[in-house]
This record gives sequence, C-alpha cells and structure tokens, in this order.
Amino acid sequence: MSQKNMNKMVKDYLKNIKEKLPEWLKEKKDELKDVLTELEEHIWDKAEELSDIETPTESSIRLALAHMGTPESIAREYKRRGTPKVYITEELWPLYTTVLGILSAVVVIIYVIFMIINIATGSFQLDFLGILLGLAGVFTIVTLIFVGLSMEGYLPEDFKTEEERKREEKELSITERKGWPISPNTGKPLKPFVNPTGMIAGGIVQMVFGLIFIIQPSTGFIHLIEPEFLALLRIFGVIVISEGCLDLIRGVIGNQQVTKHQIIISIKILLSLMTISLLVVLMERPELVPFVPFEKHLISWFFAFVILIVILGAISNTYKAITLEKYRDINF
Amino acid sequence: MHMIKRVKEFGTQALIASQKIRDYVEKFESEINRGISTLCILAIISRAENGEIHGYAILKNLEEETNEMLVIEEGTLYPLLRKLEGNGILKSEKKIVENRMRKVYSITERGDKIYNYLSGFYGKLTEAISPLLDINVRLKDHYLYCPNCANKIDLNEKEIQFCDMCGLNVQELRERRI
Repeated sequence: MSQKNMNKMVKDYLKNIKEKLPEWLKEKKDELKDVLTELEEHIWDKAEELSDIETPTESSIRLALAHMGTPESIAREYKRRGTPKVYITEELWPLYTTVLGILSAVVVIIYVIFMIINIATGSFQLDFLGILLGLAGVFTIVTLIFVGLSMEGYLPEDFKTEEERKREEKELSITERKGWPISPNTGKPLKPFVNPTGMIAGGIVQMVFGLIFIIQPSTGFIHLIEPEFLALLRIFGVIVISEGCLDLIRGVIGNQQVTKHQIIISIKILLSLMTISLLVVLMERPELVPFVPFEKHLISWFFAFVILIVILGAISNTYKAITLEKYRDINF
Repeated sequence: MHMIKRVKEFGTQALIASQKIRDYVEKFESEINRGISTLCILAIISRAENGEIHGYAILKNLEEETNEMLVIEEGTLYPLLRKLEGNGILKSEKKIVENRMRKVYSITERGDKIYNYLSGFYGKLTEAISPLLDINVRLKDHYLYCPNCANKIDLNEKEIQFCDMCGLNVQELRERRI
C-alpha cells in the first residue's frame, strides 16, 4: 500500500476524533493541534513497532489504530472533566447558581421598573404571572445550558480569557504572600470581607450626617422649607444613624463571626427598604421638595430612580449576606 | 483497558458468555483501573531517566512493568496526561528525543509530593485490605508512612522533618526508624 493511502487512513482517523472532541477543546486551536499531533505521532510509532519490516505497513497501521481505541472513547476521555453533581458538575455549580441568580435578579428588576412606571403613570395592576413565567423561563434555559456544558466536560476556566487567568494567578500569589485563606469550596483566594478601619470611619461619618438631619441646625432659609419635608428628613436621619451604628459594629467585629455580620446586613436591608416609604411620599408629593427648579413630574421620576437604586442595593446586600457563608470557619 | 476484552475464546458455560455479566465485570475492571493507571503513569514518569518521558514510552513502560496486566486504550493516555498537566501535577515541553521532536512530560515539584502521598495511601490501603483478599503485601522498609495521612516519606532524605501532605512532625518517627 502506498504511503499516500496510509497517510489517508491516519488522517481519516484523526479527523473522526476531531469531530467528536468537545467544543471547549475545538475552540482552543493551538491545544487542538497539539492533541492531534501527539496522537498522530503515537500512531506512527506504534505502527512502526508492530510492522515486520520496521517501517509502517497497511496492516500495522490498522493494528495501531485498533490499539488506540475508538474515536468516541478518546473524545469521551476529554469530556470526562468535572465531578457529577445532579446532572451539573460540581465545578460548574457555582457558575450555574451565579448565572441563575443574576438573570433572576434581572427579571425581578425589569418587573420592578415596570411596576414603578405603572405607579407613576397611575395604571398600577398587581400581576405576578409575568414574573413567575420569566423566572421559570430563566431557570429552564440556564439549567439546560449547564447540563449540556457538564456533559461536554466544560470547566469554569474554559470561559476565562488569558488575561483573566493571569490576573487570578497574580491574586493567588498575593494571597499566599499575605497568608489569606483559600475557600475550600471554590479553591479561590478569600480576601477579608470587611475593612475594619474603613467600616468604622464610614460608620462615624454616617452617624454625623444622620445627626445633622435630625438636629437640622437653624439657618436663614429653614423657614422656607415645608415642615413635612423636615419631618421626613428627621426620619431619614434616624435611619442613617442606625446604619452608621451597624457599620461601626461590623468594623469592631472585624473579619470573624459570620452570623453576626449576616444579621447586621439583614437589619441594614430592612432599614434601606424603610427609606422606600419616605421616597414614595416624596414621589407622590414632589411639591414638598424645596429649591428645585424642575417640573414636578421630573422630581417624581428622580425619586422613582432612587427607589430603584435602593432596591438594587438591597438585592446586592442580600447576595453579600448569602455569600458570607463561604467565610464560615475561616480565620484571617 | 479491560482484561476480559482480551479473552478471545470462551466456553458457552462461561460467565462472560452473558453480555450482562461481561458488561458488569468490564465496568468494574474499568473503575478499578482508572485510579490505578493514573498512579502507575505517575510512577513511570517519576522514575524516568532525567525525569522526562514521552507519551509513547510511558505506554511501553506501563505494559512492560505490569506484565501487560494494566493495558489502557492507547488513545486515552493523552487526555489523562493533559488532565494531570492541567491540574499542575505534570508539565510538558517539546524536545528532540531520538532525532524527533516530541512532547515530553515530567512531574512538577507539587506533583511529586502529591504522587508520594497517593502512592503511600494506595500502598497502605493495599496492605490493609490484603488479608481480606488473601494476598500478601509487604511495603518496602526504606519508606516511612505518615501515621496521620499515609504519605510516603523516603527515609534516605535527611532534611524532611514534617510530612509534606499534612504537616505532622515526623522527625522522631524517622529517627526511631533509622
């Protein structure tokens, strides 16, 4: 048999393997080339060894290919990455829950925006079907995608760029140098979750501001402000002082006692939600706001936007409180 | 990969005449072989001349050292090597070997420590289960097995004071053994 035909046998075999390899490997062109070159070298080595005349023959190539195994079994080995965990591998699980969380939050935010627009335009109607359908859709699509990725042997690092990988390596070396712990769940470095000095300083500043809102030092123009607005400011001051106190306590506790931090964050979420009631009052009665030269409906829209920010902050704090779990039993 | 697959002829009364039993034992063999073949591949790489060896030579050595008992489908070796490289246990580079450019593999410093632990664990495990299976296993004397984690510690290495894997102070044990 001619060399050309033997080459064709090997190339066909490699082509078959290439087709069956997982997508994450096909995307990495250099690595793919490396994989196929290594397999090809092995086939020629084996064929040479199995040949009676010390150079590959048709039958020795056929035997060498049989020794290699089927393209399916080779491709399957490349897909065998990750530890199974309810159809989605353990390695992809954190990414799955993060993506699910973010997309669910997006659905909720879109729903809240529509709700606020409806309230502002006076056509408010409570409708939970839309949000339920949205969340169910997100859950189904994201789950199906991640089951598929798990079956193909994808790992989280396959979604990272070269720069991201380098940055993570740098972070890891900083972690090792500073002696910070590494999460037993994710294997990633854990930075301290609280900057005690910053937290204490921030808490004190908040308390000072809160106090100013409550005391309302007498100025020449205070009589121009509506008493109802001043009352709202005082309530807001109490909330700001309380939040400042809580930050101060978090700073004093430092990077330990995760449960206490979670309780404090939960109280902060409730306090921030309380401000929504104040903002709704101002949204409904924009004439209370002093010294603003804009149209009243623009002021209403501004407060609607602030409400949205507060809601986003509350969601972000909830996420923080949940993710603090990874710091349990970790000592800095 | 499976020994049973290599049986070309069998009597009709043989258990492996049943496809169900054949599948079962093949799967069982595969489960046993999976971890062991990785360990043996690491052993071959760590013993290689200059600490470097290419894929084809790994398979040749594996066949020879295990009297062809541990035979893996040759194409599946490379995904395994790549996985070990991805985990930081092996490293590779292109080099000219026997007048040809080849990819050679060597064990990393961390990989060597992990290999020591895994071979120690496997050795102690085999020794422990040997009475159950009616076999005789005797671990070599020039190693100390960490009483805490079964890591294999070479008694010839004088500088070792703590177990690399679990950090247990093994100096006293070492001195007693030496």
